[in-house]
Amino acid sequence: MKHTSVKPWAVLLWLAVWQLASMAVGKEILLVSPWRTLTRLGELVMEPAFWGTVAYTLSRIALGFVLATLSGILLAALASWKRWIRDLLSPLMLTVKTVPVASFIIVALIWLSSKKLSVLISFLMVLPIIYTSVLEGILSCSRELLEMAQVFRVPTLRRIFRLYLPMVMPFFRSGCSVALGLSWKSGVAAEVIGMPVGSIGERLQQAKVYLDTRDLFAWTLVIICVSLVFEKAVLFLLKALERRVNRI
Amino acid sequence: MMEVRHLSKSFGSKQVLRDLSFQWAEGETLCLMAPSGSGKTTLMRILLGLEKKDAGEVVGLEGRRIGAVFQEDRLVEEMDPVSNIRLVNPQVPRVAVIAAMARMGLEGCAGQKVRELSGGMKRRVALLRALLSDCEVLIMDEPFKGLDEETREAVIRETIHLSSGKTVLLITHDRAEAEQMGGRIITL
Repeated sequence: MKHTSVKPWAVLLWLAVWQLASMAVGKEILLVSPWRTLTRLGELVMEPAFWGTVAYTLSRIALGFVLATLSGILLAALASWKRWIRDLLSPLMLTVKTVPVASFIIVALIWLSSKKLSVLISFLMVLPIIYTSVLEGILSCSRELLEMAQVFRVPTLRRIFRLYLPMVMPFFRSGCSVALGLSWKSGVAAEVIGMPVGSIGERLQQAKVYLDTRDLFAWTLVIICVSLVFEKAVLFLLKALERRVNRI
Repeated sequence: MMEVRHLSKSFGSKQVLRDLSFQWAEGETLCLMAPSGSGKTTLMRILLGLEKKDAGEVVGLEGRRIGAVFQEDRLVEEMDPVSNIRLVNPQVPRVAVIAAMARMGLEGCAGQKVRELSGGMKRRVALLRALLSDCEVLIMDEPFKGLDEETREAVIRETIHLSSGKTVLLITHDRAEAEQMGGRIITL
């Protein structure tokens, strides 16, 4: 982890590069400076509608993520249990993985109201990742240990908690880590196209229409911050869950 | 009475077990002597229900609580020895496990993760897991493999003590081990 951690000096350096580039361009409409972005962010935070907008997008993307995680785990468990279920799901998951997110968004807009769009899109982007990682984890479980449990007639719940979970957790954690970022990228992209009222995506679209680069950058910064907090919170909860499982 | 009747098993064109028959009584310790590569592990897997037989019958093991020592240790490396042992039988008190571990020369390592233990220590943990499980029939495949002579004697003594009253099938290629365990010896 330490090899990939973000160093403050590197962040400061890139901020300086951004500032210099913005000064060189000299037109805020093309490239707003980091300082102007931060001051706009400060103004946004003070607006009464800001937190409502963040909550709107966060709740929908989180809902899509949670639903996809639960479905992915359930489907992976079923797929590991019966080979034909795995074969049946395989083309479906491959399709969801390979079809461009924009195609899903446009089709979904025909079927659904734009309010539900980001839930569905983050669900679709997260589902195959969680499904694949959990399935891979289950299939990589030591056959020797599972045979041992079978011979000693270890009850199913104990098998799940003491054998399967510790072996699957690293796969699940890494799947979550990838899926969390993707759920935000795809969820916000869906909002930008669908423009549900009161969402971050709508504010980004408005910034584009009015060529308000300050707003565009400030809202992008908001997305980065909220998605990072969301990712850290989910990974923290997962670690807590792992510790709890290990104590059972 | 438990009985193996005319058991045969092949993997492709290679016949591993051919028309094998033997029986052993309730509470008896039977040592099955066989050289390496003679199908000992396949026999064990069939007896444990992990492998299908091609022909023959296994009578008297259905529905019995079976404990096993596999040729591999099959321990959860990230768990400590006590948790590994109690995984198959949580009814056995922690103090009883620690006391049995001490008698097997495993004192002081109850809190260590299994992956930190030596090969011989892991072997003893795997053996204790089977001995302290709530089994009626104990099937062991080379259970003392990898133990030095001094440790092996103490471990065999403890194995005899903890397996008393159980029906034991010891599969080994080592005659000295079979003799130390007592009981009837047959050669495959």
